[in-house]
Amino acid sequence: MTFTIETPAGILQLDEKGGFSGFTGYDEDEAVEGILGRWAADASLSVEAARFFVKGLRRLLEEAGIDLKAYVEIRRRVAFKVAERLLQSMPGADEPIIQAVAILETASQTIGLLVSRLISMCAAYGRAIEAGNGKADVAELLEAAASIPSPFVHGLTAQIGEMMEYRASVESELEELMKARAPNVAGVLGPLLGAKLISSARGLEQLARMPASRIQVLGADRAMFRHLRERGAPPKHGLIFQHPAISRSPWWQRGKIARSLAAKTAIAARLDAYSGEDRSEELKEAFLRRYEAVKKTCQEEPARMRIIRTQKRKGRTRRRRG
Amino acid sequence: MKEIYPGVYLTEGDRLATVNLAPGRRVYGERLIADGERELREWNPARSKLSAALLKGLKTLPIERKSSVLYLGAATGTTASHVSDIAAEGRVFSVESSVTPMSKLIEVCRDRENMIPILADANRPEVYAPLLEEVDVIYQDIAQRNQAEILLKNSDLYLKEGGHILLAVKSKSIDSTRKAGSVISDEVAKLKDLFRILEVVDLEPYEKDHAMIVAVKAP
Ligand SMILES: C[S@@+](CC[C@H](N)C(=O)[O-])C[C@H]1O[C@@H](n2cnc3c(N)ncnc32)[C@H](O)[C@@H]1O
Repeated sequence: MTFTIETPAGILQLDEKGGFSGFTGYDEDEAVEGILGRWAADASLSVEAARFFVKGLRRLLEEAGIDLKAYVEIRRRVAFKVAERLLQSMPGADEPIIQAVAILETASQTIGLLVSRLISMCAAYGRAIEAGNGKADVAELLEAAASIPSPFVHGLTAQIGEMMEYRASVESELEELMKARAPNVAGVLGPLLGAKLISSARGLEQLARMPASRIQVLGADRAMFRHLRERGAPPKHGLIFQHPAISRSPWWQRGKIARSLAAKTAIAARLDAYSGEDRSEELKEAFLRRYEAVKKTCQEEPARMRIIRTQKRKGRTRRRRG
Repeated sequence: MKEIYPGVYLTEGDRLATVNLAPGRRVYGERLIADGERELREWNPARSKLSAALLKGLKTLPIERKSSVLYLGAATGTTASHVSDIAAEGRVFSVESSVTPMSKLIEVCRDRENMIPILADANRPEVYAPLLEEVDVIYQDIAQRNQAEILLKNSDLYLKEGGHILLAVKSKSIDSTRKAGSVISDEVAKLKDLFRILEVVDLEPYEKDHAMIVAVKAP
């Protein structure tokens, strides 16, 4: 049994008793590759090889003709590069949440696409079927389509049904992930919307570092790009406006409610990122109190101010094509 | 300014401080104090268990100017940076397994020529052998159930005969149902085969349910 050890300065060969038997020098980049190749626990040096290397280091370096001082400097530089490479390659703690949010988005788009195909297909068979986007609507559509005797239609309905089941299973998995990783954010926003915010911030820590004002518009930038590309209505609001307390409130109450929800989300994210203490109930209650207060004090619709800006916007969108 | 341990000073306000190896730079918002040619960094006992242990009267600080130290659980380098101040002409191999603190730790290490960042799990010490050497001291502060086992494995590979260990034990993380005192003595018992225990210091009031154990590797 002999040993091969990728050191910061070169490849060291040891005999079965740990004695020096050979050395091939290499440059620092090769050293980084060599050491990283052994970093996985199942590829690492044996404890025995590690012991021979560490206990015999000075003698081995001498026999390999390497100056100790130079070795120490090379080793430090290599250590930095190894740590940086590992950092890049390791998934962040929130990667599962971010990926699950992406899967949900893809699944919803796929379902939407298949549903519109199904509607056209039904129309081709002389059956006009109206359908919205909600889950109940789709279920109704599938039911209606089932009576059409066409293999095309049946294939489509089966695919849609399967995709919806898959989406539901990802959703419940994501809820579990959120309860474990970010119970406060999940409590304040609901697990799915909370996950979207974490994903949009590229991680819980990043979300925790944002001020409430930034959280309030988080996600609006993506909608903005879509708007510029597809010339839809310009987005006014961030993801947080998907929360039912905001989306179901009249327009003049939304800003106040959103501010409060963003502020609670900021606190929740900091708790989840830095302390882990679950204070979601308390935060939710504080938000609800504010919500009720806004509902009570702002019942009247204020006189609406219209800003005419259609022309200006037209000019801008035309210049930027996707 | 009185030097009360090698490289550790007591300021006018009865606080601890070390000589800043990276003058002008802070690691965790600590106060910097000009002292003639050099700059001292205040060492906050509420943030660092080693500072707390010294203020609680730890007799032996086995880290010296030329010490080579293996630091397990370096996190963002709060305590490790003070260890690096003390071992100014030595080395501090700083092992941390979590990605998030590691990015900060790398920056702290960059400013300090004696610090070497290592992103690895201390449960598998053989993995980082290519970046290591035998050390005079192992400092360990990782709140894990098997912390004694981790320390034994690392000492076996890396600690010189006669070298010292400093082990911060968070008694609660081992078994929350038992009294701190009994858990600490369990930890001490696990170390007895390889080490001679020199001191156990309770870190109250700076840290609740924590203690610092100092021992020497002796056959
Ligand atoms: C209490 S903190 C250390 C604080 C630090 N010693 C200080 O005073 O500045 C514990 C650290 O140990 C790390 N840790 C936990 N298990 C570990 C392991 N198996 N290997 C390396 N580090 C570990 C954690 O990621 C965490 O950053």
